[in-house]
Amino acid sequence: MRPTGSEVHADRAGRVRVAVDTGGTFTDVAVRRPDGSVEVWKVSSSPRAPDDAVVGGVEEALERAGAGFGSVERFVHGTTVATNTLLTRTGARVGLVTTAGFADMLHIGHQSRPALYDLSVRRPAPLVPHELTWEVTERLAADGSVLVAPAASELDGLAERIRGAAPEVVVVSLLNAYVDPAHEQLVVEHLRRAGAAPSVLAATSVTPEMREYERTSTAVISGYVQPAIADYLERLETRLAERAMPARLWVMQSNGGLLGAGSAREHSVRTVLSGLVGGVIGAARWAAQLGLPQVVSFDIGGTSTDIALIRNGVPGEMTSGELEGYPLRMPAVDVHTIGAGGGSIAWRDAGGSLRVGPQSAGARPGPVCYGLGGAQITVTDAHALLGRLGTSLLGGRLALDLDRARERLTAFAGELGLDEDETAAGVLRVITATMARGVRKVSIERGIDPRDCVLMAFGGAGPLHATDLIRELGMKGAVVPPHPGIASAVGMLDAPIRHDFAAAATATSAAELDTVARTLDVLTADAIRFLEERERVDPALVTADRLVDARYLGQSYDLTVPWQPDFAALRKTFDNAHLERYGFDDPDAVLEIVAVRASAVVEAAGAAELPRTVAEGAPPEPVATRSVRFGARRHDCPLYRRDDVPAGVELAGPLVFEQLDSTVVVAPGQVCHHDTFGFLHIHEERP
Amino acid sequence: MTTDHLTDDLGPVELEIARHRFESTAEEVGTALIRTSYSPNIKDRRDCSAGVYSPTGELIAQAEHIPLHLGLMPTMVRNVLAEVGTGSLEPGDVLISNNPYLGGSHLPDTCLVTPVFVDGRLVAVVANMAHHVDVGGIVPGSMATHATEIFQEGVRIPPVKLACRGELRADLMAVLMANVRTADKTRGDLMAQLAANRLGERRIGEMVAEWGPELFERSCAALVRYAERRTRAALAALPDGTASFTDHLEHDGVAPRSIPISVTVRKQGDAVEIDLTGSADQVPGAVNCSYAVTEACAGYVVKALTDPTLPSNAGLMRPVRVLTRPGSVCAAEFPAPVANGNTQTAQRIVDALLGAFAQIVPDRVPAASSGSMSIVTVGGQDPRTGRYYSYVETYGGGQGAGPHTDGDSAVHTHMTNTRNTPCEVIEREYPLRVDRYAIARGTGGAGRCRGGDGLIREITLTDGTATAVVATARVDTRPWGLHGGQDAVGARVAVTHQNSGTTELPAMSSVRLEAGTTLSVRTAGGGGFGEARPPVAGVEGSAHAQA
Repeated sequence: MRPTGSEVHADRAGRVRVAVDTGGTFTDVAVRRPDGSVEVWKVSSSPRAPDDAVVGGVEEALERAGAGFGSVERFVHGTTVATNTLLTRTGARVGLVTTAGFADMLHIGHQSRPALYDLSVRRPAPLVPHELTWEVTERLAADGSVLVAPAASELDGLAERIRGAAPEVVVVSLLNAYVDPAHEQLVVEHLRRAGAAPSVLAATSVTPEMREYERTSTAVISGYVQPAIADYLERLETRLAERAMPARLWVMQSNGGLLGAGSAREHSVRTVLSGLVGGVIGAARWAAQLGLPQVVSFDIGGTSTDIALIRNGVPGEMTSGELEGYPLRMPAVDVHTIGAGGGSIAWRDAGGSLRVGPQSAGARPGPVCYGLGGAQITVTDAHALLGRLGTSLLGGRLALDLDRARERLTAFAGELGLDEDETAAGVLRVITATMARGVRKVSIERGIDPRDCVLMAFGGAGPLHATDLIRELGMKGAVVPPHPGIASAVGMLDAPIRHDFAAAATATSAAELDTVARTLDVLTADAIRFLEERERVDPALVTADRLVDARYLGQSYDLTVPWQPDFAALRKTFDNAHLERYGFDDPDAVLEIVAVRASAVVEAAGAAELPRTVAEGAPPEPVATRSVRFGARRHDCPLYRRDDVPAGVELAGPLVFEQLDSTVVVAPGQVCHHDTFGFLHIHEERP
Repeated sequence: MTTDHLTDDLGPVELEIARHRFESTAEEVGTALIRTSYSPNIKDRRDCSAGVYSPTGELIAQAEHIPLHLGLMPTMVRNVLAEVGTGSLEPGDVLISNNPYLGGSHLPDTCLVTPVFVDGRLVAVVANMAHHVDVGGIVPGSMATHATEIFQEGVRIPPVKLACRGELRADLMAVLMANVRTADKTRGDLMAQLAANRLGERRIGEMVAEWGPELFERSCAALVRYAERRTRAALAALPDGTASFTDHLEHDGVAPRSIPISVTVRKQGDAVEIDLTGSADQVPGAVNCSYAVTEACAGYVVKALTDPTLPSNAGLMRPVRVLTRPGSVCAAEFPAPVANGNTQTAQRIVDALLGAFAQIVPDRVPAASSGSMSIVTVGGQDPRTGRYYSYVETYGGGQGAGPHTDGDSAVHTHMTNTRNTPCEVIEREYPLRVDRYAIARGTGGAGRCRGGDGLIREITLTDGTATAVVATARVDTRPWGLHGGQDAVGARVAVTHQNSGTTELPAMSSVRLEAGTTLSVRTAGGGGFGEARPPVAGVEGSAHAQA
């Protein structure tokens, strides 16, 4: 069976789209019917075999949606297998071959220690142990000229020694190979021919960029997670095929685009943030559809919060980052994670200050009010004790033990010398300050004022914090999507297929720009061909973005800007980007282009418009009233079921919306509008 | 202790909110500086710090990338403000200084101080300090070891206005640029420093607008008192005691000689006195320390041994009394040269402090680390471009083993934490080739917990001629082990000329390189901790015990 482009991209009557996102605690599933309505479902994750929860969860969700595997036309998956493989150090036995004199490159790293003052903290051990590193006598100079060519006789002996150590994957990473990968390829081919290891790869084939440690680290991570990802995806594909699912399996990449399962098995490193970006991609799409130019995506989980900036519907991107202390050079959605979530624990420090987090009660024992043995007041407890959460969560499946939480709060308030409500409100004020600091970081450091942004709040607890955050930061408002607790799965439904290519290229003047243009042409053609041949999509549907990495000559950090064939125009674009990002530009400096990028994208059919899922109607009646504290006092606060709220309705705070997967609060002085797409828009009441 | 906050102007919640705002402002300034600077010193190695200060120069919050700057900048900012006089400051002014006797460390560390005015009133000061690639003097990179007076170390900038009412002083810039070898990079770095402070200025303006000047001011004072309370609480948790320790530098920069660094630590209750008055007189060569460097070492050790999360502000040092003798190697006076006071002596002061504390809190103090920032400078004129260049890098070494953890290898310890310059960047930017970059296996001291191994870097000059300056330590002495742990293997510096073979050099030396000459530096390992158990084969690179 060979799926065609049209099968992938066209909606057909009766066919559904499925997205499934594996998280640490829950696996979330979203199924969208042809009429645009979405069925969401949540099952417990199965960390030992994540595919169990994926297949089981999808099966249940499809059943609830009145569909079966046979009617799935698009299947999108965010997976944490690569991340967890790294986290638990259960990856492949990877070997490393370097230029003679550099075998310790990974261990030496940046030479810097992770904690300035904590003498007991150590850097993570390299993913390649010392006994699996080998050196080869060869050398390129920085200008690409050959100082010493690798000798075939030495490579024979090397292959022999590698075979003896039996690594599963061997990464060949040679100095200055970013200028010319010829030596690397020669060594790789020799080792492959000699059968040195089941898999041999050149570091420059994973990322061709300068800086030997970062490049090698990225390639090693790729080799390390590759077998686990390949096994997992193969198993999942088989199980889906057994259920006669006609759609292909698409995997979310760190850059927010999809990669076919076949390609993901090969380019595994691209999936390391797979489980993290679904929500951001959804938020970006919604921002575009709702016409919101500047949005901060805000996804709160139990232990951490993921924050990202979205401009004109496009999330910020970064090309260099770190994972578990290992550098990673790979285009990725720029997500800033802070250690603040619903489970963050409140404590009093030796200076008398009320602190919240970064320690978290997690899912077990969890907040005190979960009644699972948690004994320290958490953010969730503060919400519950201030009346923001009712007496149960998840539609009654989880009863809250408020008495026990109040008992702990009394003790904690005594420690601080505050009253109970002040203490619980203080916990929220402090976590708001922590979260606001995170929002400021992602916006201000990118040259954007948070006051010009809208907060897109999701994750189970996001809509509990939105109201405080927009007030603290003076933001324009907050938007809460229809299924905030399952937003990352819903957000992936319409993710585009995407593949990024990069190559080194150098130019500092208009005269050299022709070479850059040619490199970019080749790269773009490669990218389109890749999508056509490997992902089997219709090349007519592909749009290719051409980008360059540039900097002022002498700087070491690049900015990625859209390619323009005119040097002066390119220069102007770069100056503006630099001014926006760093607060100044340097008209006297020489502009240096250091790399080119091509990003080939196929948008999902029908992804441009939001389905209208909510009919207009009269304002609903509250289902109950609850005492909720906002600011310095408690208010009698009406409580609504979110499903009861029609479109076009505007309600004034204070109020609470309850829904299966989340709770939304609106403070006094704020108003909330429900639109026809099912989004809640919260902002300060205009005078 | 428990009701201290009640007399405070801010409650426990307001305090924490203010801390977040001030810290994030300092971090933002630091990040902007790193991202926009031109020299690898700042952009790659991150040899810089940024902070927010009260109008009198009291540190409120600092983003530091190396601990050395912890105590440095506050003294510098305070003295710069005092010299210039806050009365003469106007909105848009920016002060500059690199004067070590006012609180700098050495001339390359250049501090820019931006007063922040709101409605014509001075409400705060933003400052950042960065290690510049060259500030003139007798060797490229301005890190000569053999200077005998500060005039040989480069251009000394007294506290003056770099910008007046928003206008950069072109005449001053011209004077400075005429006296440094790498004017383009220096200019770019100064611009980055200016712009970074401007960001901080804007953030503070927003805070004052939001909180009002009165609450802003109260918050500053409260945060300092908060840090003091926490430091006192952390000190109170340590046993009381008095202990002395003497360690030695082996080279004064001009000639080998043993220079004692003697410390007596008197820890009582919630305060500690650190007395270095017994240390040697200031020496002819460039290993003298300014008082500010010594104070930074004291602050570092207190923070590391009590509570690594203590806030870095003026309150941290209030319970810490540092006694030095003016004119000594720990409190140098004009015109003593100081270029390597922080790269060498600071690390030895830490060693001596740890040696003393090890007698008071034996279960917290690690064995000695490699004992030097091991700074290597290679500079000259690149024949390919005709431009002057200075390659400056500090090399990590072995970390001393702790009571429960092996020391890490090839890592920066104690007063520094700069990042390396990637080999590919070195080879692209300078006429240098890196021949070897490796862990010096077997140099760490054995013990129940092993000391980390040192680092080897071998570089060859590929074009022209150059001057190389190497300043490391523990060539003739060894980083000590503790409680039965073995001492580490010391450092080794050698130069190999194409025709005349290899020569070993002392810890601090200056050497002329020709194309084809190879400089080889091996830094010292770290000492071991506790008696070694029966030998285990192949412990190299063993997994570290994680806390």
